[in-house]
Amino acid sequence: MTPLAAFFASQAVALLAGWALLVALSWSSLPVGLLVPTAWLAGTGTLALERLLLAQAGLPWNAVTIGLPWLVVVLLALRRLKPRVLVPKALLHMAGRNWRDPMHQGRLNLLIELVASTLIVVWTWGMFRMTLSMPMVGWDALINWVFKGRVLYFQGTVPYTFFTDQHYAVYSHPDYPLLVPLTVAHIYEWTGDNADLVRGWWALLAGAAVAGVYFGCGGALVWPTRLGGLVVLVCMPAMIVYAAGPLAGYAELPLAVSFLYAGLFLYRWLDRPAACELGLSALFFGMAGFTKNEGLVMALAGLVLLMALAVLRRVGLSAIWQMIPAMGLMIMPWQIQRVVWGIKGDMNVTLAALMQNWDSRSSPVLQYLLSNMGNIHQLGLLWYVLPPAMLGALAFAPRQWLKALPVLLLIVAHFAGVIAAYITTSHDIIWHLNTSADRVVFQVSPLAVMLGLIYTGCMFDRSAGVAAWSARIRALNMLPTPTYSRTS
Amino acid sequence: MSTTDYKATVAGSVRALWGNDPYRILSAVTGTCMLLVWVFFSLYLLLGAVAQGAQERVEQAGSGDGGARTETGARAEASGVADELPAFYQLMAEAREVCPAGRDLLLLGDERAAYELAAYYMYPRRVVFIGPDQPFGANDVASQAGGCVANYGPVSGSRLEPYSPVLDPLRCVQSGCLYMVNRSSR
Repeated sequence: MTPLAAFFASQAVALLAGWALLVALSWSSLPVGLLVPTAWLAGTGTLALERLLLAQAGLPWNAVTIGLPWLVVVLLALRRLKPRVLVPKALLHMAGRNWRDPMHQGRLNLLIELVASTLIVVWTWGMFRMTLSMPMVGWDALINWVFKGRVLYFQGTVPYTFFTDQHYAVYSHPDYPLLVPLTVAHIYEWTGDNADLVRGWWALLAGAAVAGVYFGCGGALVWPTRLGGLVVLVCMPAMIVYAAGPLAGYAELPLAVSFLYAGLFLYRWLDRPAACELGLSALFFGMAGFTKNEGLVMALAGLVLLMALAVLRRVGLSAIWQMIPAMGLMIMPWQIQRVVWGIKGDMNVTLAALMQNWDSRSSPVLQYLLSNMGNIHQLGLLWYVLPPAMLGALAFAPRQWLKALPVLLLIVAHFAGVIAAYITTSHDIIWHLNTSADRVVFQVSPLAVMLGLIYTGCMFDRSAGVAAWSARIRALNMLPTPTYSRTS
Repeated sequence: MSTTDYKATVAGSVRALWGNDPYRILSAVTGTCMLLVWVFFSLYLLLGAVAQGAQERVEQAGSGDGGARTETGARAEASGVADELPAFYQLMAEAREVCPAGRDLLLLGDERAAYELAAYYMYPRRVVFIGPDQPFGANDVASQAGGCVANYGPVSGSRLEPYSPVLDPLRCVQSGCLYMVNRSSR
């Protein structure tokens, strides 16, 4: 098998694993365009978690130890699917569910969905080709993520001696969560030691982000808005830099995608409650906490929000009991391991330090964050559009604005955590801001794009009913009447 | 279609989509304008980047460097990331390929960052780092006979010069070299 084929085989395994998991948990009733990236991401996260748990249990990583738990998951999934779903006609029926949404009625809309899908695939492939055209560069990409993953691959475990050896500890943040290094180890199992090819994973993540915004907002936003969002994301220079440029290999994009999907499923659940959306939101909050320390703040904010909303919406206990393990299982194993091994982070946020440094540091911190948010050459008009769009939505569509409020609170929580970290940092504040402010802004940018689209979209179609929109377009004779039969 | 017909059609379409409520129409127009400005600016950014990339390629072709510098490469230079690694990375990749397994790599470096990168990259082989302020002499070279020595940075390069007769260069980059130490040096 060529390294390239091996790389795609490793990702196909993640996709199938994720799909089996979602089916086993009954979390797979999503539109196909959203199900594919969600399953791939969930599979990637759970495969990484599995490796960590195996290492903690003292078991080696091999086909038997890794494959056996998945056999149980697949059996569970098959039990849920029932034999009829395995025949091709039934699979087509399942895939076709996407197009039977009111949103997808009519040949014009079907055509738009196909064009958007093609655009996403072509763009992702372009990003993938671009990543392979330059070697891995950047300190963090190598030391914190890819080389660390390489060490795990060579050792076939998460070695105590490596994480606690001062020979390797300086500047390498041994406290950082392990989703990315363990995913690198998973890819290396298939491709062998290949630091350049592994960058392709970042290109696929970018594709998942775009697909998440486009297909994930289906049903909540009309297609012109979603298509606009697709264009905004694929044209955003920062997306290209993190997907295929010099910053491919950093954990910012994986974290941004986890934030996006966590917020997306939270919003979808608020828009039209389904138990699977709540569970998936929790899973992605957990993945954020398993990706980078900044994700822990967002995960905590997500947990508080999910619990509060679950209580407010009187969700059954079973949904809450699905939510907590989904998040906890992702985050806790590494955090416990860290404590047991005595690995300390370089951040120590305390109230006393916050109060002490606030006056001297708040001004440069805000200045750097705002200047990076306002960098139109990296993020386009995102942070310029968001405030007026938010005000517009508040004025013209307050109910929709309220529905999107938890997503806004997540972004606020992220910046609150980041500001607290900067204020209390033990590093030189200017050096710290210079080396990371642009990245912490990017971490929430895809989620902010989604929020901006929700705001502009709900002004665009204030009645917000997708079916109503389609009916109105049909009233203009712009769309033919759907030709399929609902009973097919 | 006359102008009157056109206006009537547009007005009819607006009414059909958003009704007769001016508040609702204002909302739709605001949302539409914001989205359009955002989308078109994004497209403008992309086209600008593509045009800039093409211009750079033309300039590089003119300057005779073969146009090898890519758009991402230009970004890497702009962000300073490229300064961190590529040359040293090539050196270590070579070391991993050709240096005997099971032997430590002796690295003379001007700064500790080079050692950190090498230590990770060469894992599980150990990298023995000798900084500019640490002693280094013939015994160190002799003990490395049959193995590899690398330097990174001008200061460390000058410290290796006296031993050049026993060092076989394997690869050199701008700021450093990788050598195999002759067995005869022992």
